[in-house]
Amino acid sequence: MVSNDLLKGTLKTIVLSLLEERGRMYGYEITQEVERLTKGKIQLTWGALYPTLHKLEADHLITAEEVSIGKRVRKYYTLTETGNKTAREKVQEFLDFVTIMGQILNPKPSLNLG
Amino acid sequence: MAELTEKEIRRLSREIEKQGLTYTELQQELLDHLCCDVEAEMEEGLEFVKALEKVRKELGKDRIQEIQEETLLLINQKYRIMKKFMYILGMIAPAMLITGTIFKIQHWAGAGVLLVFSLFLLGAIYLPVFVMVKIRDTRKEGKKVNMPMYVFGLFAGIIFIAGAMFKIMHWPGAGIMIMLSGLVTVLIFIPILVVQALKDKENQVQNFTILIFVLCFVAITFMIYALRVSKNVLTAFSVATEGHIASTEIVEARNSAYLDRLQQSVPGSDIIQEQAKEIRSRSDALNDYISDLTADIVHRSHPDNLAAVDQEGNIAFDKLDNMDELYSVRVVIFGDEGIPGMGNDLQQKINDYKKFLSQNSDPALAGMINKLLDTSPRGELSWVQFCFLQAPMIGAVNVLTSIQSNIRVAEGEVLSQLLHRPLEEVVE
Repeated sequence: MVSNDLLKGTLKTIVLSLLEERGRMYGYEITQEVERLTKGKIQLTWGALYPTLHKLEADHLITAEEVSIGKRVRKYYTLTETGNKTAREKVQEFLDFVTIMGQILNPKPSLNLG
Repeated sequence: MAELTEKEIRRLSREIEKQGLTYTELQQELLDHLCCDVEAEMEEGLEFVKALEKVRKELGKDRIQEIQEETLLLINQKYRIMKKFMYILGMIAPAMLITGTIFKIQHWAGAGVLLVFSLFLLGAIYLPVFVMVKIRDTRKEGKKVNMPMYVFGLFAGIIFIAGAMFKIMHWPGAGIMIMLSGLVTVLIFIPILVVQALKDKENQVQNFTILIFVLCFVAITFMIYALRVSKNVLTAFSVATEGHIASTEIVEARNSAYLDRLQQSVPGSDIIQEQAKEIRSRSDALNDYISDLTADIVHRSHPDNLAAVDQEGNIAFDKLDNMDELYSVRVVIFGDEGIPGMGNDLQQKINDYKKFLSQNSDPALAGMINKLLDTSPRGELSWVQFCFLQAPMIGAVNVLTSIQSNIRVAEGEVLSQLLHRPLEEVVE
């Protein structure tokens, strides 16, 4: 399991990159997808996911559309144009971060040709 | 895939509502999520009720409301608008307050409206909005909100601004409000602020600055209060005033006696009797006019002062409030905000009276009459300014009653001279 503290800062990136890949998703689907991709190592809670989704919507990075599914309404999210750009930036930023963290935590012996 | 019946969905919907979820957009979304969860469990072979129980257990009890709060906090547009509104108001209200103050100093009409409106904006809107925004910001940072600090600070602030507004508008109760806000600030708010400043390491500089400003503000307010006219001075004024009133009464009685004797002792001399009557009625008229001015000034100083003045204009000095009030004198004598001042009118009436007395008496009395009712300018100041500029209420009342006393003395001199003149004529 990945700790909530670590997850907190990256949740936006996760949601944005998932939406970038899959196009249109709803809340439950996102939690399931994350669980599947991480083989259960990351379990998104409602409490973390929905505030993030609504915040992204308020910031105009994603838009929502409501679709009737039987007797209930399902809210699908898609990236906006700015959202697309932000998704790419965020993913890149995170990858850079991981590389840098790797350098700190796992320094490889470097060849000294001097 | 198992699909929930309408009834089951309703059951879940009630479940969500029961948890206190009121934000409808989130309601529908969470309902869908909950349905999916339950459906997934049912897929595994559980019955609806069992599935629901399992899902519910996983969610924890108060989760739903928490999610709502967090969501609203993150996206709340109302909060953003509120913040923007606060900034705009923060610019407008002080600008208006300054404009109002300039108007007030210049005695232009509209000063009162500007001041009341800007103080209302500051106290009733800006301050509460600021506290709300501040509390939310603190919560958002994940820190504990020092609720007593905000509650007492807000209370003291609102009462203080209301007190200032009442003071400027001369409405009753201003003193109590300012006093109360001072007490709350010194006894409750400042101690809380000190503790907070010591505890909150992150905002220490900010809290310390606020503390210093609050302390300076309290000090200045109390200093202004300390600058008020001392009670002893006020008492001295009222003793002097009572002296004028007493002597006026005595001289009035004597003058009435003169009048009676004039009517008895000079039968046939209609002209003199008419003259005496005219003098009396002129004196009474001016005396009444000054009594009305006095009553007006006294009333304007404090609404309770209505009870301190009886129908005949007698003032109960021990019942007077706000004896050091400056504004009532300024309004009545010099005029303010569209109310015409009566000072020049008073001077004119005294001059007319003097002229009348001099015309109806021996020229030898003219010097004394002029001395008693002198209205000539004193140095740079006109007589009205000399008597009433920056005068406290009781000071003005003192001047007015002394004029009344002098009127009666002058009247008495003229009447007594009339009383003695016929005798001389008889001798001749």
